[in-house]
Amino acid sequence: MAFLEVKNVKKVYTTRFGTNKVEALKNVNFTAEKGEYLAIMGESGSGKTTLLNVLASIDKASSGKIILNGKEMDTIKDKELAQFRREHLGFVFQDFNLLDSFTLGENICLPLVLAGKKYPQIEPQLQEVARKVNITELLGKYPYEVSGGQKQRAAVCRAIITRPELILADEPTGALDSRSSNELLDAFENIHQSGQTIVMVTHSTAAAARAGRVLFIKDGEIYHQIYRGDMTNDMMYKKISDTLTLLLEQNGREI
Amino acid sequence: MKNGLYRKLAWNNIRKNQSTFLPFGIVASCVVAVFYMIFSISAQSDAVYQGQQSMEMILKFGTIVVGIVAAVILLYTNRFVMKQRTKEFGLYNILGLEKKHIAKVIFWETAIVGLGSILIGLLAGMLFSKLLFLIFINMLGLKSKIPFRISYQVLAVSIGIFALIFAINMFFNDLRIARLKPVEMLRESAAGEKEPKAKWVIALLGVVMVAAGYYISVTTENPMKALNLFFVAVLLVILGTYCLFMAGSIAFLKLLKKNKKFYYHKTHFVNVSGMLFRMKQNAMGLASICILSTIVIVTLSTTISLFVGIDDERRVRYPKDVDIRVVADEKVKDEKMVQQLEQRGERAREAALRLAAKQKVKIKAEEVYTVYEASLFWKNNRFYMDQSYDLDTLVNVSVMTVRDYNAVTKTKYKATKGKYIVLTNKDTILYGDDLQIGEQTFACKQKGLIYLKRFADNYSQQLFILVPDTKDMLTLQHAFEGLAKPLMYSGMKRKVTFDLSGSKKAKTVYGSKIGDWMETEKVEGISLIEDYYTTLQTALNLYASVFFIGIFIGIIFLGATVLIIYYKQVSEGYEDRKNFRIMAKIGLSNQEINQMIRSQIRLVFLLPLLVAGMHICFAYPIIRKIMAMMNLTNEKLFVMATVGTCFVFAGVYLIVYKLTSRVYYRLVGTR
Repeated sequence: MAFLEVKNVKKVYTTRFGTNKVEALKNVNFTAEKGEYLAIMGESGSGKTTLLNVLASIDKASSGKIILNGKEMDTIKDKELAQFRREHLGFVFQDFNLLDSFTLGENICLPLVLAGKKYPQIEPQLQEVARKVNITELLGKYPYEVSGGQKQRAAVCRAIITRPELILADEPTGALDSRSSNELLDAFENIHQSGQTIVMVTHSTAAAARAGRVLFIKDGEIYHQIYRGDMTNDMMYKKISDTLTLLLEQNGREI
Repeated sequence: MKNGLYRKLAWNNIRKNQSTFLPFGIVASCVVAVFYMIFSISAQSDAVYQGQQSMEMILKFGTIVVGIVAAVILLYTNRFVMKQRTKEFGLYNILGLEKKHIAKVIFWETAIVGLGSILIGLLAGMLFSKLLFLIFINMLGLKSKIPFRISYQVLAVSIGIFALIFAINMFFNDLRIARLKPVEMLRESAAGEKEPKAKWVIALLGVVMVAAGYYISVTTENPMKALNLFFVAVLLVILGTYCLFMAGSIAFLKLLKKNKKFYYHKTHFVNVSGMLFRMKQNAMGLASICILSTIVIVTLSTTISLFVGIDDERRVRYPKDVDIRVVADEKVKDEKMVQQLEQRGERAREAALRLAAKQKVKIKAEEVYTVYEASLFWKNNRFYMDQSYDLDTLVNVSVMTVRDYNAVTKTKYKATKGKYIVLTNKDTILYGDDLQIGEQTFACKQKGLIYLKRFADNYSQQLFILVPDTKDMLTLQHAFEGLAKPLMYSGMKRKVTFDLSGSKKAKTVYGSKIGDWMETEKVEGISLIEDYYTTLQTALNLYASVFFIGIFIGIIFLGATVLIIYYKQVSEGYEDRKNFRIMAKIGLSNQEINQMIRSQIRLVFLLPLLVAGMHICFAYPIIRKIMAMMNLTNEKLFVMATVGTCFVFAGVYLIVYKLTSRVYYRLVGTR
């Protein structure tokens, strides 16, 4: 059985007065293996963030199943959801979501502290993850003292410090310049190589080109995917942009 | 550009930023109203206290304290407003308004908000004080002497003070704009506050000031000095409290943070770091809450004990129901004249008995005695008299025969010819083996320290000289009067005192009639008639006003406390919303977040209450002494009133806390 299994997931939003129904996800099916680095691409409004939210258990699917490591997410009670998220999932957001009143180091430790871990356990883990994304010397600084790229790397640390089974990243490079983006993607590659499963939602071709597999989502459905196979990053980039161009042309014809 | 434009711009800004300006305006108006009410009561207090200078002084001092707290609150809330407004000014700057133009906009904004708050505040103050006054009169049936008239002087001074405070605010705002670059202004409200530095010197200063205030309170022995020292102590504690909350709290939190074992804990982690940042803005608010709480508790507890303790207080001053003092027409020079004085006393006693028969009351526990009284000073082991009127060295001397003293106090001193017995309530006067008055020396049989249950209070120095014979009284009178002339309250008196039994009404009627009765009976030489029941009635009327003012001030301060708490919750709710959303995203359940919020709020709320409690404990000794000076010596009553008030206040405080945290929860949005 696959590590992450998404089966017939549907998500329907109802407007406030119930007159209009919007189908954000129509019928999504895919699986991911342990240690995979998966990118989900799509235009704005294609449903990719909804998909991520459903995967993250922040939002509930209208129907369908999501199974993570043999555990069906629907069966988790509401009360246990937060704990489940804390223990099994790590998040990286577009706007970092670091707390201003904490130093980077403290921000990174936060999930462990909230889980009730003691300082002697926390400290070595902090050093380990900080080394992975190369921000060891910034741990004592406050978020307003560092650049966006550094903040995002700290956020990545915060996501991986709990050793989650799955990392969910929502447009992690969205607010970064190209240099910072590259550093962040290097960091992702680094943690991926150490066996971490990553699902990243993005519309940056450069970001998606680093992934092992790219899913394309459109109008709430997955309609295409690209496997890296033996391709280099550059070849991957080319292939993705070709696919996107194709997609655009199709759209043009439809209109 | 024309001035009209800035005015319009300012007016528009205020309207568009209602969510910022409205709470600020409400707070400012309330602060003005509170100050006005206290000030106007203080200015009219002479009508109420009639020479009770200590109460007048306390009220004046209260006005100053309120003024300080008002200024602090306004400066502090202004900073909060400005932080949110800076971005807008940055935008103006970029769009082409020069900084001096922005300064003009700020001027108009401040003028409109300031004038508005002052006007509304003064109006509210006048209305509210009148309303409370009417409610009290109707509810308690108190006859208050406070006219609550509107004094133009008080109005003018209030306006002046608040205009000044708003001008200072404006100055700070302009300074802030002048200092910042446009880009910085744009970022200002979004930028995270810098981590506050621990200011150890200020923290230490706070500790020293609070400790000094406590020390004064605990160690002050002399109640006469207590009042002045009390003011010093209060000022020290207020300033110290502000320092402690501002710097001490941050220093303390930093220490907690250094303790990794404590800090890296589920709730401590978020609370300590959150508080650390928040203390910078919150310190002022929390310290103000703490000080106001202390004032409320002190005012209410002292007022209640004074009101409830009137009976005791009168009894200390008027131990007997009726006290008639008879004097001779001229100075008593020999024993014959003493006898004449005693005969006069007897006539007065008989007249009093006749009235008792007529009014259907019985006379009991009669005490009739002759006493020579004088007040003078004792310093460097000798008596002296001058114009300095130094209360520390004042001694009230009473010379009586041993027989009379024994009869009155039910003691058994033995008389020895030619030797005196010296009794006093302060050991300082017990110098040497004999009694030295001026150049004369008198042999003493014994000297002793007594605790006075009768005759007078224990807080001034009382000296009793018991002599074997009336002749010795004359000798001592001569010796004392040889010191200087005139002596205070000096002279030979015959005292006729007794208690009454009968219905309370009959006793009161007796008391009201005895004065006129003595005249119709043509008793000569009556110098003073005091009766407990008349004086009790007078006191009740007097203290009704005192009570009213106490309750009034208590309510006002309570209102101010509630207001600050509310403001704090609202301003923090906005800031915390973001943080708790983030924590929800990284895997914290709503329940856990609520728990965290609760513990954080509880800490923030309990802190001022705890410190206020500590202040009360340390203020207790000195307040007790001041109360004793006002003849309230019933300590049990005072302790009960204080503890009771503390509990009631804590209850009200908790209710306010519950209500306002609802607002907070709504803002943070976890419920």
